[in-house]
Amino acid sequence: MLRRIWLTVLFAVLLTGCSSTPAVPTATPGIPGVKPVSPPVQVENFTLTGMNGSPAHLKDFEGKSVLMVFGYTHCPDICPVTLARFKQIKQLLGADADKVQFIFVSVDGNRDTPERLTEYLGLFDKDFFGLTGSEDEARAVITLFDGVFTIKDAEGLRKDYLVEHTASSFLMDAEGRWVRTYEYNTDPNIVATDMLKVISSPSATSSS
Amino acid sequence: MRSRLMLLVVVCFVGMALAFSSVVADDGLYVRVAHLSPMSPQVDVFVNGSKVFEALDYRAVSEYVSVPAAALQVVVVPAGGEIADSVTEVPLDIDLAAEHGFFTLAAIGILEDGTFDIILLPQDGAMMDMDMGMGMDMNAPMMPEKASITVDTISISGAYARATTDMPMGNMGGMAEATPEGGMAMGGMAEATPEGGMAMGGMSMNMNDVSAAYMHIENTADQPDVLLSATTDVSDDAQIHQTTVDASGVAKMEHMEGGIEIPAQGSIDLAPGGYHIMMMNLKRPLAMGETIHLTLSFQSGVTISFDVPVMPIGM
Ligand SMILES: [Cu+2]
Repeated sequence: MLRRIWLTVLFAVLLTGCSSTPAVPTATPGIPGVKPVSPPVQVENFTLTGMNGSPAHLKDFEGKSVLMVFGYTHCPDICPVTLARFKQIKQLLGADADKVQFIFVSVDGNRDTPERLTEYLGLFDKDFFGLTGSEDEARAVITLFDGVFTIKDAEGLRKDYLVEHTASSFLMDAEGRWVRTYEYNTDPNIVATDMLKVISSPSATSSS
Repeated sequence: MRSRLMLLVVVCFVGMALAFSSVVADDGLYVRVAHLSPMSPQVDVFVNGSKVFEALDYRAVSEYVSVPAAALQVVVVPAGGEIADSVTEVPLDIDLAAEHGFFTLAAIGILEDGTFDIILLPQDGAMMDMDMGMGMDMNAPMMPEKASITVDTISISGAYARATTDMPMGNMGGMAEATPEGGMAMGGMAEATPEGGMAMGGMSMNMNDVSAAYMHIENTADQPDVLLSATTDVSDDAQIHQTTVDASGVAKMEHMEGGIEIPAQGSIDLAPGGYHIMMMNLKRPLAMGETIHLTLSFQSGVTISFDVPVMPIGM
């Protein structure tokens, strides 16, 4: 237990301390894979369908930071990697994970029913939240983050069609402002360290 | 104040070590030591009675060494010292709480302050450990060993396929024949899993009808070779794919119709986010603990047929 606390202290100090130590790289602008959104963008409230089948709004998560990624449950290669990293980030956040909602937004509402999303995300972490909606609804939301997706099913016939989609993750602070884009592949340790900074001092994000 | 500054430096360094530690899968148990205690001398470290690390300077990080068991008794002494010269009054007991993996012990704090301690950092490349829930659930199936095989000039190692369900294999009996095509076979699944199965009747429970296989392929020939095609017993639609993420962050998959070239005396990696054997329209869900049969054909005429284990989806 003592060692757990030590680790929490380690990370806490990482955030507050390292930026004042010039020789050491920190998760500030300039870190590969971490793109600050400057100035932060207030994300308009949107509505999709949650895992219980009822409408869910971005505003429902206000008060927590939101780490969001777009994907689809039939995605065989990229999405499982991203969600496994989310899980790792959540663990690295330790007690601060409570201040973050991890959200997977489906770009394949056709196949991704709320039930299926629940099952799929449950393979990774029961706390991950899934949102789904029609193609138009999903497109409206991904566009808010300058993302795109393309359903690769020209004839509309394939049952196992693929979807090309933006694979980066997007971090919103507790006030619903988009403050970071993390590229697909960014080391979870770097993401977690950077996120802790945003979580612990929301005001710092506007100055970066 | 000074010691707080010291701690900051230490912590930043630990952070770097964490951030850049690599993800490695292995069956052994490995430990390394990071000397992050300022104003301490060069040290030797004894683990379970043997001198394992020698002459570590402040800020040095040792190589990994293999340890036989998770329970470690660690004694730090000034370089050249014996166990009796321990800098702490009693040996420090550290339990890695894992049967395999890579771990880092960090010596932190300051001797004079009495704040000196050795802490266990989160497992290096902890993703593997967490996804398997290791050390928490004794009933969880053991992680299968990845497959290796050599035929003529082609050597394959680290081969595995990604699971499409987190149900253990024991619950999947009878499913193979119950799935005439892709998604709608779940009625059969409910019947086949008396324990809890009924709750899923009619749903696509924990099922993904697409999966991928990954591996390292080495070509020992003096000519380049090409991985031309793959077939498998779990899909009639296996293709060689490459995932790329473009500058705008969009992930795309490309069917490599001409295969993948393997340089002479060189190798290629099929790994998540890159090349993979894509298996579409799966005939049945893939569960950790089972194997699938894979046949790979190469331009040189080499054909390799082998069993590949199914690993957890979170990997
Ligand atoms: Cu693919």
